[in-house]
Amino acid sequence: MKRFFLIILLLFTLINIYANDINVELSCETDQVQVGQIFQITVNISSNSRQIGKITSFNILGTSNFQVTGQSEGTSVSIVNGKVTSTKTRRLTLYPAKVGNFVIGPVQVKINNKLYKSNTINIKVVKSLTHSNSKKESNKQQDNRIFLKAIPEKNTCFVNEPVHVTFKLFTRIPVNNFNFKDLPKAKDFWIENIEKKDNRIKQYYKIINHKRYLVAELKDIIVFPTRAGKLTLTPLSINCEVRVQNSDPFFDDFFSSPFFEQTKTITLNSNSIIFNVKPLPIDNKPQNFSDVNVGSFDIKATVNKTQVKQNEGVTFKLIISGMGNIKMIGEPEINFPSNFNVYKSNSNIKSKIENGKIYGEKIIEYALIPENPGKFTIKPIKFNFFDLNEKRYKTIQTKPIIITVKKSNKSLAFSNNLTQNEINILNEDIKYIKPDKFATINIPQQIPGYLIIIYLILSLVFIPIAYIHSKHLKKLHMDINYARAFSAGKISKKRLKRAKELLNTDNIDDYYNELYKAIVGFICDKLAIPAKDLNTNDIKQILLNKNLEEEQINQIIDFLNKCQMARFLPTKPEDKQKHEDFESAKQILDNINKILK
Amino acid sequence: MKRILLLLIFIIVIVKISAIADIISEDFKKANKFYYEKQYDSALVYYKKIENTNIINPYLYYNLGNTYFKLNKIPDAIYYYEKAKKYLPRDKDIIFNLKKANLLLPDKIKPMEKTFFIKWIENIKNSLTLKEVFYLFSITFFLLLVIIIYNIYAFRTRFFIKIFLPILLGVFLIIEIIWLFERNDFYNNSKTAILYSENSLETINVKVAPREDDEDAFIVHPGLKIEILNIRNDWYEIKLENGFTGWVKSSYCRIL
Repeated sequence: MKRFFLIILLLFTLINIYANDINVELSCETDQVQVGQIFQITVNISSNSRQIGKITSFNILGTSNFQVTGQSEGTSVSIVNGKVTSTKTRRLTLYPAKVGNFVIGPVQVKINNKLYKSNTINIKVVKSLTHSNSKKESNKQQDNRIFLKAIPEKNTCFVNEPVHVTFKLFTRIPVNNFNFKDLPKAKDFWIENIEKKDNRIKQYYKIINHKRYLVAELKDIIVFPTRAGKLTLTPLSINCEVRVQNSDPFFDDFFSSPFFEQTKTITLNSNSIIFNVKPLPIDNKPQNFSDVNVGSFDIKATVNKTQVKQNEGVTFKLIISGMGNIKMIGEPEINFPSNFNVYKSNSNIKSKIENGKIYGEKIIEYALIPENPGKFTIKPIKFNFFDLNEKRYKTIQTKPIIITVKKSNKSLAFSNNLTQNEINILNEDIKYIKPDKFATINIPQQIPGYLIIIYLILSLVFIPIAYIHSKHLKKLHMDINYARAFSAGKISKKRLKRAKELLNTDNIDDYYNELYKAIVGFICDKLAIPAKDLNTNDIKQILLNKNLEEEQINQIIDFLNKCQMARFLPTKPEDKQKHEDFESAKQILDNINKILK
Repeated sequence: MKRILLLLIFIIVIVKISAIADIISEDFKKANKFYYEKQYDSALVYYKKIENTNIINPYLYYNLGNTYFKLNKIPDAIYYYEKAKKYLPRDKDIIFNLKKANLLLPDKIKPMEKTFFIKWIENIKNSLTLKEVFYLFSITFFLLLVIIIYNIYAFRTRFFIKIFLPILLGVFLIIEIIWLFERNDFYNNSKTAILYSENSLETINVKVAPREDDEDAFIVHPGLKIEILNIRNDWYEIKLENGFTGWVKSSYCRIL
């Protein structure tokens, strides 16, 4: 019995210890409802003990304006990192009957004879939400559940002072995916993006207005306002794919299961930020000061060698490093000795961002080629900037550099005088590329050997042919006998052709006459003798004079006699005979042609 | 069957060639776009990609030269302008840009004094490509052939056509043959080069003899056009446009 009391006592002391940590919170889904439309309010009683204890009294003030139509209760215990949290949730469904602004709460809860009070909430009950209004309302409701915020490091800054801006997404609904739609516009600002390491987005939870939000830092940028005055940074807008539930998530557990979830893409805009940009102070402002040189900088000048020969190159490096808009800072003026020919060869910019500050290094490289021997000094190079830490102008400078140039008779130091034409060329930009002339893909340049061979053959063939042909033409023109001999074959062929036409007629006289004339005419033309009144005996004589074989001559004479005989014979020769004669005439002509060549 | 196979192979080859040509002109367009957007580094990558296909194209060389110019690599720019000029010897843009690039070199070299006549001849000589000289040669050849044949046939002609014109054309033909050989040498056995080094302002010591430890003849910088007179191992005897001669390591020379 004694032990039992002890335990009871112990329990009571335990409860008393933790009872102090009880927290009561009142929350509502919306702040605007329509008359006659039921809505829910939620009371969360949380404690970091395993048991909250018995609620002896529960009283919500301000509910007299509503009818309570339903009530539900739930308990949950969670252990996170060894910390125990138990929560009792009471949900009340209210029916608004009147129009007006009402304050609900505070909730008075008596636990273990101790009174706890919650916050209050404002509810506006309106007569009716028009359709568009209600849509807007639901959007707004969504806006409360998910929104994008731009948070600057500070709102007041100097011109060209780097300011870190973070874009955070606050959400109470699950987000599947997002992508950037519109980035803040660079008007009046120079914007530098901070690359996320491994593209990882920082996430954590935060409670705002008694609601727990998941916060994701989507984007970090550094902005440099480029002028003084009130400047507005335009919002960032993103497309977000969110999971939305069809029915009220608190009411109907079954329909809010994942099977009935939908994804929806919404566009979120962050707020725009108004910066109050102060101009740089006018006091002690150096002359020709470039407003971009804001931050904290260091300057250094180096050369790769200090002893050179004439016409030998020296590489001069100017390094500006520090915090600020290194990409934009003006290059300080350098007065090189006039003896040097100066060639700007390179300028290299590196920048990195650490802890929301932008650091960088700008290396400007020159090649110096001395013309004459001697000792030359590159004077200190001054650089002005406005120091943000000390809020004043500062001038830094490099150390002077002395370069000794030795005489060299091997130098190619030629006169550097340019003609007016050359100056004009230097002042002009180079001609633009030839973008659309790519039709000819390959232009090889070789002598086409095969064409040369063809040319040679052409000249070796055509010139001799032309020579021979022209000789023949001339002879035809000048020598009538040659011309007769040349055309003998043609005339006899013509005669034979006529004879062939007569072959199938009864005109035997003409037929044999043609055959006879073909042969006699051919002989006369070839031998250049007049053809008139020749008889067979004359022909025989002529042929004999030409030293022809007796046998061949006899064959010709016999045929000629046969032709003359046939013309005057009373009996007509048979067709077969006529054909044979025609063939033999042809053969004789061939023979004569061969013999009289 | 064999014929069909051959035809197929032929078609494939043609399609492949045209596909390659397509890719190349696509790259060319991309590179031009980058150049237009002043992203010269990216433009260079694409132009170089086309150059690596061993295509000979003066427009490509010219654009490459411009890109190098914009990237402040004058010796490279000069090398490509000279190469472009080789194939388009009368293009005004190329000549202008080459002139400008040469003015930006550290060494201003005055060419050797030459008589007006020699200069004139050289200008004409260099203003035509090998192909163009060959066209000229062909035209002269056929004219001469026609005139000779005409004279063979003609009974009586004037002195001008019979003697003067053939001799004139013959002389032209001989000049053109010499010219052809000279051009062939220029295109296929080039002796001209550009002094070159990775660092465009490096000092190049030209030696009096082909030895590293020998005396300097003179000091120059990359980007100069030179003529190679002699080759000994990996040393070249070079001649500047002003007539100076000396020896440099062959790695400093980029033959056109």
